[in-house]
Amino acid sequence: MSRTNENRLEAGDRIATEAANWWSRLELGTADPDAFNRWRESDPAHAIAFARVQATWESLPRHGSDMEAQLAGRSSRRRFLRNAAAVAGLGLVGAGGIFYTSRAMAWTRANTAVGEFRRVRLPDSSLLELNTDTLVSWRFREHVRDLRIERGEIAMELVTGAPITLVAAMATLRLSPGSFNARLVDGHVGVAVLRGRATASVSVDGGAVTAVIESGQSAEWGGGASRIQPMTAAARERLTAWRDGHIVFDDETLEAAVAEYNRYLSRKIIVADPSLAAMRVGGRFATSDPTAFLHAVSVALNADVRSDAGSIQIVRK
Amino acid sequence: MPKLRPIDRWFIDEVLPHERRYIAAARVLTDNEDEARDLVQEAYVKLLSLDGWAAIESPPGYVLRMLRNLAIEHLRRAKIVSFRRLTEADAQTLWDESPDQFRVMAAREQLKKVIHALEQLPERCRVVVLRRRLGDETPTEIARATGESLSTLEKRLARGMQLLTQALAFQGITVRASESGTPSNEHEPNERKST
Repeated sequence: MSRTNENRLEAGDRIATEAANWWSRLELGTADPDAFNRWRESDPAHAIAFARVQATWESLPRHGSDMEAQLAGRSSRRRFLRNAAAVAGLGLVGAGGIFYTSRAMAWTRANTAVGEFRRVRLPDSSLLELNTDTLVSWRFREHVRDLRIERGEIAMELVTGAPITLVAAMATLRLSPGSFNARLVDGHVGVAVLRGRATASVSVDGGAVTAVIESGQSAEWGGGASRIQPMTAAARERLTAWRDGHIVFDDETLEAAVAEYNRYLSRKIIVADPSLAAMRVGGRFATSDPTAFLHAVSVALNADVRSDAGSIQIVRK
Repeated sequence: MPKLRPIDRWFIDEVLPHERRYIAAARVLTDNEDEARDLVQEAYVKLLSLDGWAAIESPPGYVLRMLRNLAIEHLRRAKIVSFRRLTEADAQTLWDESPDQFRVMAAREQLKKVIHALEQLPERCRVVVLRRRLGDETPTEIARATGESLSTLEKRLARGMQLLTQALAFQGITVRASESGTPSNEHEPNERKST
């Protein structure tokens, strides 16, 4: 508070302007992410101003939202324009005669960045959880509930209602109400049925195969492989650990474990030595912090851990 | 989609929605609205520099305690120490963590504020904001439809968002029209802690 009022206001305005500029460039895909990160890291006030812009954005109605429906309801009659051509008239028309347009039946999206976790309540009050680096969308209508996972991993607690379809790359799944885990990572699709039942239709080599995955089973497709198997208690724990912020390894190669861990890390771990990569590891670790994992690896495998700005390397001593 | 760090996500979901409470509490501890906002900003800056943010049990309660401590620090540094304000402050129930009097604004009230703010925007900025948000159009689609260059769109979107942010700041707007499609604060944020 030692700064004078005028200086304080000027600095605040300048930061607010910078934050809006960065935000806009990121939103339109024209920003240099590294320069942005430097700007944000250089002063907490920058991060605060940026978060404010994002919070404002999230408070604006989005198509398919209840708020949009309310906006439509505000206009005197149901002047809710449904065709794309009418988007040209997008805006607020007349005093109080406010209406928006949208593409009918649009999908709603939610995503997470690397290392993020997020819980979303779907329109029917079903629960959706997003693991790291995930993009998922949905479109819920009266007679059908469509979900689409575009990348990453989700957990679903689905309530009774209209039929549910989940699309993940080459797999289309009909889901009963229940509890499910689904992932789409590196072109591989994995589905685990914790409660309920999934009927899968998977395109393989131009044809389609159908399979039923019962409660307590998991299925995987991709890379020419396809299998359905019962889940052991350990497998179930491994599949669902991310929901409380953990990652579980059970006698996996270091290479596979590191690949899994890297999904959560913006600074990736690299195993330089092939003989190390084949070693087997196990344990339960926090997804948010690989320190304990790296320590365990260095002690158990007698390896050195070196980090620099871009990566963390595991090398032979 | 701008990249948010977990701490930013947490700040937006857990801290910012209660801003009206902080301002009201800070107002009791300071001489005017500007100082109250400064005090809140000071608390935010400290908050964002914390390592243990994820472990904070009640972020709004934590911010309220920070405000009080910061105000005490300021008082101690002042030449003439007056505890009048603190006594006043303690007499208030602002430190109470129950959000009764600052209950999250009703969805309709929030919607009104958002619409009002949108109505105040210059037309050209508003079109870009709405096309992007409500129309979910890609930058290329917007550029084609409006006949503007990408760099012009960038400026209009930035200007529009800056004005909206200014208009809606300190309102404790919590509507999440984005993901849940439900106008309530049902997002549960990142609750990750390292072990």
